[in-house]
Amino acid sequence: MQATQLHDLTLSDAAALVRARRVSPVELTRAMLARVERLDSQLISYITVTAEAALAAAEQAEQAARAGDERPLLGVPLALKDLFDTAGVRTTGGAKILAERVPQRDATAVARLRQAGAVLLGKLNMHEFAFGVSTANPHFGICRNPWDPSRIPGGSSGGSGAALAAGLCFGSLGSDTGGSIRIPAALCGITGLKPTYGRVSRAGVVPLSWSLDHAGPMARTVRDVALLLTVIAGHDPADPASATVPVPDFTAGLEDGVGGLRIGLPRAYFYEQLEDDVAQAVEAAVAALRAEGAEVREVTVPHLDVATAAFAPIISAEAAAYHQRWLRERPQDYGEDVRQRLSQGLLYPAVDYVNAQRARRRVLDGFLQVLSEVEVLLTPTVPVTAPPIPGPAVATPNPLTRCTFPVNLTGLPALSLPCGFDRQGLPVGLQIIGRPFDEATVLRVGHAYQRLTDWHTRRPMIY
Amino acid sequence: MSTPSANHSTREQLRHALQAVGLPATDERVEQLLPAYEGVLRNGERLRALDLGEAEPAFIFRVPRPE
Repeated sequence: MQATQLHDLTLSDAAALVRARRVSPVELTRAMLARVERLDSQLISYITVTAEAALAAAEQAEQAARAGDERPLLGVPLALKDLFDTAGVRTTGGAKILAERVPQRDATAVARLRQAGAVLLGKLNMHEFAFGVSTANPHFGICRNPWDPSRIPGGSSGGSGAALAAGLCFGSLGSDTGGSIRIPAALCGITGLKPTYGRVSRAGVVPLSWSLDHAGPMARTVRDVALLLTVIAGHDPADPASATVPVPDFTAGLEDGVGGLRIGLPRAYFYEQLEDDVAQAVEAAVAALRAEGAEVREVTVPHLDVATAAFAPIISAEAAAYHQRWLRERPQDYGEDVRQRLSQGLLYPAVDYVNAQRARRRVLDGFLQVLSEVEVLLTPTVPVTAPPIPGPAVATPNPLTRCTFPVNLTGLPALSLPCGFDRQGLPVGLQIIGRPFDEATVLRVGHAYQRLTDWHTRRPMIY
Repeated sequence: MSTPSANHSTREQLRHALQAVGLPATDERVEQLLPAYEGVLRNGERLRALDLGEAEPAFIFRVPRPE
């Protein structure tokens, strides 16, 4: 296979070709590393490239493939948000404070990727300590959107979004506390899943907000995301929030279609304040799924009015609790936006935090009530397309998280996938929200949509 | 709209709050954080206005079952 085509493979196709011994893991890795070297100076999607280790792992994978090894990710080059501990490789959290930190152990999700045979290319840029949505990182460089380098890729997993869109890795892991997988997925035109809270271990992932953090897969297709999820999901005693639910093969039911499936459209709140092109693209997606046999109905999620009041104290106070020592001893080593957010977190009264957690239960009950009537909800992921760098100001309510953060309060699974472009050629994301631990249905709807459309195959000019 | 005396009171509240958590309470820092602190106060009012009934917090402590 020609080297110029290798980066265009999906993760699933690359894995299948490696197992079939039709493509070499070393070729795949070299192709990716060459692209990173050629293109990433324009995007700054990587913080650390581990070229030698990647090639060594690729050589091992090649030998294993020749011996008939059929592990699901054998020889496939991935790159990880620099929030996930990688043994022997610095893990910075996008922060000056952790710039020299080298963990001794892999995060559990990383260990599972390696056990499945994956090759790790390096660590990806992110918003500092995951506490923001622009990935305009003051310490490691401003990450740029491959669709328009004057714009943000979203965040906080912005490096993952940018690298995937530009063909600089086949898959990635991100984290999502208020939208940090789904927002870059939407703004960069790729696919990302925030699984159910507890589905994927957070052990070895630098925390932002313990009760809101989710780890999850990012890739170019729903099938790829489903494959990654199957590998990384599952109980982990090292994560106190880890769920003991069985892990199915999430790729197994993808082809089941949407015939007879009930899809809810929560127009109040989620369909308000949308840019015209975003609204148009999402409505077209709804129509496509309806034409495929889904039963689409309008629904109202109760108690969304309390979501903002609940979210702010929880994320801020939990983050501040983790950072309080550094805030006192090294405040100058934070970027201004993150320092402000963390300082605000120290100012919330304890009773506000407790009441926020009580209000959170109301928000969850509201979603569960609606999801007893439909299998999934369909919404835009982000009300707008990618803003210009440097992104939203600190003090304003953040429009980019409007449709995503309420779902973090609930812990429900939510997928973002591309559903079109605006008139400036910027990607638009569609969000699919499901029932607790029902990632299978969420992925099934997403895959059905990707069979009908080709948005996920489009590539930016830099590609 | 806040009155000057209310603003002064809020500034002093913020100054005390910063000192209580060990952060520098310089005039510059107070001015920088004032909008965020006003956001904290407004959010507190919104939470207090909610009828949360008997709802328990979403972080109920559970004792682990023996293996």
